Amino acid sequence: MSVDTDTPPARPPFPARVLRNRRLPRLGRTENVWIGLILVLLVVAFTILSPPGTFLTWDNATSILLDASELLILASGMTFLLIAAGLDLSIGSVVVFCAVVSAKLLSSLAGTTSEANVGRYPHLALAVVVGVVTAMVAGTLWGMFNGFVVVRMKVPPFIATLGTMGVALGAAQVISHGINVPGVPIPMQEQFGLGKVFGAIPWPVVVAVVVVAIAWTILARTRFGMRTMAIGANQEAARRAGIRIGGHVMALYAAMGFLAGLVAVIDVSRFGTASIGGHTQDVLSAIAAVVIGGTSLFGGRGSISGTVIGVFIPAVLINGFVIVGVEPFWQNIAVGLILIGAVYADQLRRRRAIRA
Amino acid sequence: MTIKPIASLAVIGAITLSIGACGSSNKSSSSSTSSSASTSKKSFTVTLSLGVQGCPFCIAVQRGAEDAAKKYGVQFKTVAPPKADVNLQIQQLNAVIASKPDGLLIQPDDGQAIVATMQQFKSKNVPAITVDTDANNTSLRLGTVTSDNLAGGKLAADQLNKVTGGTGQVAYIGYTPGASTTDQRQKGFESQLKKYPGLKYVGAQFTPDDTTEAATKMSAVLKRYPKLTAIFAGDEANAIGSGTALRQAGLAGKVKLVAFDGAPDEVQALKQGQASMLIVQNAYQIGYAGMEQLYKYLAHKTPPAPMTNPGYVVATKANVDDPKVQKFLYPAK
Repeated sequence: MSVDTDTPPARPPFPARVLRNRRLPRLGRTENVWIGLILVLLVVAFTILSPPGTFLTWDNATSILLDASELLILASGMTFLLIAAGLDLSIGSVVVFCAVVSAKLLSSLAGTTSEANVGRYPHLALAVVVGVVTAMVAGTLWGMFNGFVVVRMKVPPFIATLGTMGVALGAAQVISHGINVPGVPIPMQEQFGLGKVFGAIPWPVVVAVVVVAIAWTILARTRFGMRTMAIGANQEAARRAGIRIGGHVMALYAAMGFLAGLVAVIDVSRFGTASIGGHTQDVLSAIAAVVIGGTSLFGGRGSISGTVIGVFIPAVLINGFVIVGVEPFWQNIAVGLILIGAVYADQLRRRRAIRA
Repeated sequence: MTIKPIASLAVIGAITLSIGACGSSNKSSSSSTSSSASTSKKSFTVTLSLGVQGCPFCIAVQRGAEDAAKKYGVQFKTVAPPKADVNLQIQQLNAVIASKPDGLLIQPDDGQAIVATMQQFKSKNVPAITVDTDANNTSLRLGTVTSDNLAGGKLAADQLNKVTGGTGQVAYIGYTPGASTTDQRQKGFESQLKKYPGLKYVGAQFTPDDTTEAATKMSAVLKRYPKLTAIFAGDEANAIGSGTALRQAGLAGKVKLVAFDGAPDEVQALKQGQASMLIVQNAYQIGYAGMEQLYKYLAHKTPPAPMTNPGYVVATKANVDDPKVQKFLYPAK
């Protein structure tokens, strides 16, 4: 296969043609314009329905971004997995495990209890480095374990990661004796979890933006991204084209685990504790975000820009409904109905684009 | 290559056996110390069925019960479902009843749904005492030891009134409706609030034990009601999430956060200033009294009081290091 260096890299063999519009900047795919418009529509609707100066403010936007930062990171990793026709149900449990391990190390290494009580942390730098690195290494190891079970033991990803979900959470509970781990050094919360770059953008948002940018670049502009699409579209054809499926899929699961570890660090910094009971909904939210964004559950198709929109639609809905004052029980009904409606409208347009 | 699958099966078998040995060795060590204390008379076996795993309040109850069991030489076992789901609890209880304990301490996830299972225990002459949540059919248990969550909610409303000076907007954030303990707290809170006409109740938000979702919803509430004066968080995850939301908005300390339960991270939030007040149940005493009453019934047929309420303590930054208050706080291990 010769590679033409003048034109951009060829798109992988999709089951359907993709509309390409060279006049628009390549930041977002044109097929995501519709779902993007739906997001804009929701923002406009909530601005009109809410009391003035409550919804459409810089403050509120920062809040939404901050609360969505963890999900953005998880959904980026999930996008790659779903495109490759894989799945990882264990991300919530891996986040909890990494958070517990990280919090325990942070609280025990930074200083003794008596020192912590007066706010002195003599070994803060060491504790932070060890805590952060351990969380990400642990996450990557869990990801590699998932990859091993899926690739080498050939267990279907659903079952493999379902198993890991239980094992990781159980391990976290064993280490923490079943309770939340307190004692995260205050500077970590104040300067990172709640801190802002240039006094305006929260650190977790910066991390999320960097991760999303890297994920987008890899998926849209590198061979790795192209191979991911190929594996998802037609695994056998990809294998015969010379792509090493096993190694590639293992890398995807390991990356997902790494991102889960990163999210654990952010979580511990934001809340000052490792929350054992949390993150149970993360996997469903991440998969929902990826699918809302247009990625097919069967693999072969997807984009990071779509995932980003898919993260923000539920985030805006939850935030908007509370601000507008919809009662909590009706919130659930409304969010569900709007999601169905939004994705249905989006699917209609995508199918029309395919037929065109 | 048939050796590989056999080898991996052998590895998994070895791992399972060793984990089983690790898990049971902890139990056997604790039961051996308690049985050695009573060599002359028969030692009773009691099982504690907690509502859910990994909840600091429940663990404090368990510690209290374990200490009482050790004192009286009772062989003690605890079971708890991974989620606060009464169906999972009933599944575990069916296994428990097969092992025929002498007595049962139970924290039902749902007072009505547990009735059928407790009827089974009664028909097998296994006396039961409920802790924290009562069963709807009181003839099925000897007595109950509870802090009365309804009263706890009312106490929260009183404290909110005190801490805001009687005027302002107040919000509630709690666990998703369906768990009777938190439902009662909300009910008590909302009904008591009506007694304070100066406090305007802006409504309730619910989250399923997730700090991120609690932070998200509380951030939105703070945008909607910029003049909010106080928040009542019905449980630990909502307390932590609300505390973070307050700090993000720069309102920590300005908006008063009154939280239920005294878990270690809530105490940390109290000391750091995100939370103003913790309403702490005497969870340890709940477990201790429940086990003690059950033992006295089993050994001497002393009927326990129909209801025992070890009460609450209100912890603030000022009194949290007081040993009297420290006794109430939930253990960090």
